This record gives sequence, C-alpha cells and structure tokens, in this order.
Amino acid sequence: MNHEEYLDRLIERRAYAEVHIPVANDKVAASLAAVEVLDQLQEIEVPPGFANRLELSIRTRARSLAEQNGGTMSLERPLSPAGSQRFLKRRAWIAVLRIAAVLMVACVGVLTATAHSHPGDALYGLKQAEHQFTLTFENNPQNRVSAQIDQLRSALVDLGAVVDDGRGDDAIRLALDTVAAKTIACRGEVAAVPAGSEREVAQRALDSILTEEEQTLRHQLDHVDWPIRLALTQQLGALGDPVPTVTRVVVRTQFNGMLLITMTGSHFAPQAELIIDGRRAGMVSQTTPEQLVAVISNAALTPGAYAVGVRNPDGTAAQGVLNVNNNYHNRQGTPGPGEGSNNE
Amino acid sequence: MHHWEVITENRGSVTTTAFAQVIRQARSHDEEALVALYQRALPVIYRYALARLGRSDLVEDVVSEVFLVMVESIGELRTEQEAGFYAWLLQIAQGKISRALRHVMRNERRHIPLPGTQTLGQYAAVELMATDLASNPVELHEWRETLEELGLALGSLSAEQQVIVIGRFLAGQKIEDLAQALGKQPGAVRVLQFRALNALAKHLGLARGSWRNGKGERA
Repeated sequence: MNHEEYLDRLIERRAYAEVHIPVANDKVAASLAAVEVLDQLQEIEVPPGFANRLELSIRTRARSLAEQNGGTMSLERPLSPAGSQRFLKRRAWIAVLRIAAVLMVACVGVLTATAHSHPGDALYGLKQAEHQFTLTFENNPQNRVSAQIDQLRSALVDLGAVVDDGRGDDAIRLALDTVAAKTIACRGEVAAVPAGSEREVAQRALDSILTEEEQTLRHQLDHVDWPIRLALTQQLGALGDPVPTVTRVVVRTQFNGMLLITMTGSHFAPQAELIIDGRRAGMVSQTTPEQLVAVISNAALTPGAYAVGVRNPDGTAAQGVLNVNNNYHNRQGTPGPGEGSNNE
Repeated sequence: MHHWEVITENRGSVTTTAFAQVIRQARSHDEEALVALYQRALPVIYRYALARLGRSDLVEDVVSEVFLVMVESIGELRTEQEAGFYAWLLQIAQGKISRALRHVMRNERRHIPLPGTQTLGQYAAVELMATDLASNPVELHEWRETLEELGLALGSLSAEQQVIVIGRFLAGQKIEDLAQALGKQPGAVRVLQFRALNALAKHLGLARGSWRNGKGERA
C-alpha cells in the first residue's frame, strides 16, 4: 500500500474511531496533523443574523427568477362525443374541477403570500392568525415550545426584512412588538414544560433563540432612527442586556452663561453622547456608569419641552423629557415613557 | 416542514437520488430547493471564505455573492451529484475570494497604516468562535494565528487541491465522489490530497520535528 492510500485509510479510520492513531511515517503524521487543524474550522459558526438575511435575499431572487421564467400551461380539452348526455356530464365535472383547481391555486397563492408577508403588509394579520391557529391545536408542551421558537425566529426575520427594506417606523414597531410578544410567549412555554430533561432541552433551545434575538437587535441598531433605537434598546433590556436608562435630568446655568446638564441613570458607557431631540448636542465632560455631565450653549434650550437622552457607543440609547421654563435654574426632567421613574 | 428538509440537516448524509432531485428542482428556480442547497452549503462556503480572508466583513460580502451566483447560474450546473455541486460552488468562491483579495491589496497599497494601528475588522473572525474560546485570551490569540496561517496555507494550494481539501474535510465528501466530480481516478485524487495536506503541514509548521501529538499543538 502506498503512502497516499495509507493516509486516506487513516483519515477514514480517524473519522469513525476518533482516536489518535500512532503513525510511523513523518509525512503521513504531518498530513494527519494538518487534518486536525482543518477540523478546527468546523468550530466556526455562521452568524444567524447574516444567514437569515442571505436566505431572504436568495428567496427573493429565486421568486423573481421563477416569475421571469414561468410560462402558462395550456390545458387541452379532451375530445368527447358532442351532444351526448355523457359529454354534458363530463363538461360539468370539468368545469367544477377547474373552479376547484382555481380556488386551490388561489388558496395556495394566498397562503404562500401570507407566509412571506411582513409587518405593514395587508396579509400580515393573516400570518399572525395562522401562527395562533397552529398553537391552538398543539397540546404537547415540547411541541408548543418548538412552535413558539419557530414563530419568534420568523418574527426576527420579519424585523430584519422591514428594516432592510427601509419601511416606516410603524411597520418596524409592529415587527418589534411581535418579537417582544413572542419572546414572552417562548419564556412562558418553556416554564410550562415539566422539570426534567425535556425542560433542559427546551431551555437550551430558548437560550439559543434569545442569543439570536440579541444579535439581530444589536445589528439593527445601526440601521434605524432615534425612536426605533430607543425601542430596540428597551427590548435588549428585556432580554437582560445592560442597556442605558435615564431616571433624572437636571439643568443648571453656569457663571459663563453655559448650561450644565446632569443626567442620572444607569449603564452609561465611556464616550456616551448627549442627545437632544434625537440629535447629538453639547459636550460631555464627565461620564460614570450612573451619571453623565455635559455642557451646552444657553441658546440651545429655549423654553419648551425637550427629549434629552444618551447614546452609548454600542448604539443603545435612552431618554427622558425635560421641561424648560423661563427660569434657567434647577430645571428638572422626567424620564420618558418606559425609561424609569423620576425620583425628585 | 417543507419538502427538502431531508437535505437541510447538513450533518447527515443524503442519498444521491434525493440530492439529484433537489438539483433538478433548483434548476427551475424552485425557491425551497434553492434554499435547501444554500442551507446545506452555507457552513462550508462560509468557513472556507473565512479561512482564506480572515475578515468577517469581507466574508459576508463574498459568501453573499457566491450564493447569489448559485441562484442565477444553477442552470449551468451539469452534475447532479453533491461532490460536484460543492466543487462548482467552491470554484465560484475561489473567483470571488481572489477578487476580494486583489481589492484589499490595492486598498492597502493606497492607504499605508500608521505604525501600531491595525486594520479594522482584521480579527473580527474570532468573534464567531465559541464563547469559551473568546473568554480565554491565550487560546484566542493562538486561534487567530492558526486561522491566519491556515488561510495563507490554503491560498498556496492549487485550485484543484483546495476543492479536494475543502470538499473532503469541510463538506465531508468521499474520495470516490470527488474523483467523479473532478473527472479523475480515485488514486489521482488521493495523490493530490496527500500533496495538499503535506503542503498545508509545511506551511503550518507541522512537518517533521515540529509536531507533537494532540490537537494542533506546535513546538
């Protein structure tokens, strides 16, 4: 047996036995070592967010190509003896079958379109109803967990699609609300599985999809406007991520006429930015995890209400509402909806 | 559960008949068949591209291009055999990777980095590894080096040798199937495999004197 065959035999044996095989020949041993290094590539995971986005692109392209290439099939009517009773009956049956076929094609078309609809589409409500219908008839706890996780994954794909398509904030919010609702439902279903090995399996599946959700939400942070950024941050917080919150905003006039803004909250990161009404403003002079201090021009805050917030370098954000009146001293803000409570 | 789930599991083997049927359906741009092929091949192409390029930002562009070419050009694929499909896809990937590398080299010539700075995203690949590795700085550093060396080593192989190595060890194809896909005798493919692995071992410093038993350890 030559070296090449010997090496291949060892590779085969190694694949099945998974044991270290002592090899006398140096070249063969080195080759086997190279195989071990190649094996390490198997540990690389494809990022789920990327895989989902690419799958969506492939589906879209495949549909487009199928539509371009698709032709109409001509149905040849079978010849029957004209005028006979049998012929009339057959024609009636053919008509019924054609109507049934058209209805079936229409139903399949609607179901297919429903399955591929996104938040904001007319058929999206039907898709949600279909999901609910699936769950209604599923009694096995393990299967219910699987179904909920599938639906959460589908909701994440929808969220990615509406953001990538540049849909409006309403559609993105609807997608995000669905993700939040499905996350809660998944957790509930896993908690309902009786303790034991099945619960452990369900918990692992839940952990995996929640990691996927976190990655998807973090990826979307770079592609959305300020209000959606706040909403994504809230959902990340619901997943247990350390995200910023704002509990109090205080503004004081300094001697030089500048305004000193002190924002209190949690999880402020170094190099966090002050955001007023969705835009970067002022100059941050000091940041601790619980406090951010910034100075801003006196002219920047005329009397009125302002959304004062913070954006961490990782893209997460939070904000509170600041009411400014004619007295510039000790103006205090209140947190916006869902951002905590004001203590003062 | 859709019709092609049987082949999307990826880790298991698939019958020749089932795979041939998926290829036939995919040629008519059947969405589910194309997605099934994509799901099966994605890990292989992704890992190969990552090993060659080492940068996850570039990898995502290249892998996306490869699979969109797959969708567009599946009608040109003559084989209905899995190994042949991988060989075809890897050839597409090789072309895209070469183009990406040329582009990077052109850019690097134009923008010479300041001493002490590193290219953005150069080691983004490590983030894709298991979290236990990411939490161990020493192992992480070793993995970065291994991946970089492996990428260079793979790049030094001929296109055919790369198809054999990746087809065999990432896609799990048999020598006989690869031989059929490449129009060669199994013996000839074994010779190419032997030479390719030896060349990899030399590049990775695993040849005589530097190898110790165990996984990927080097002296």
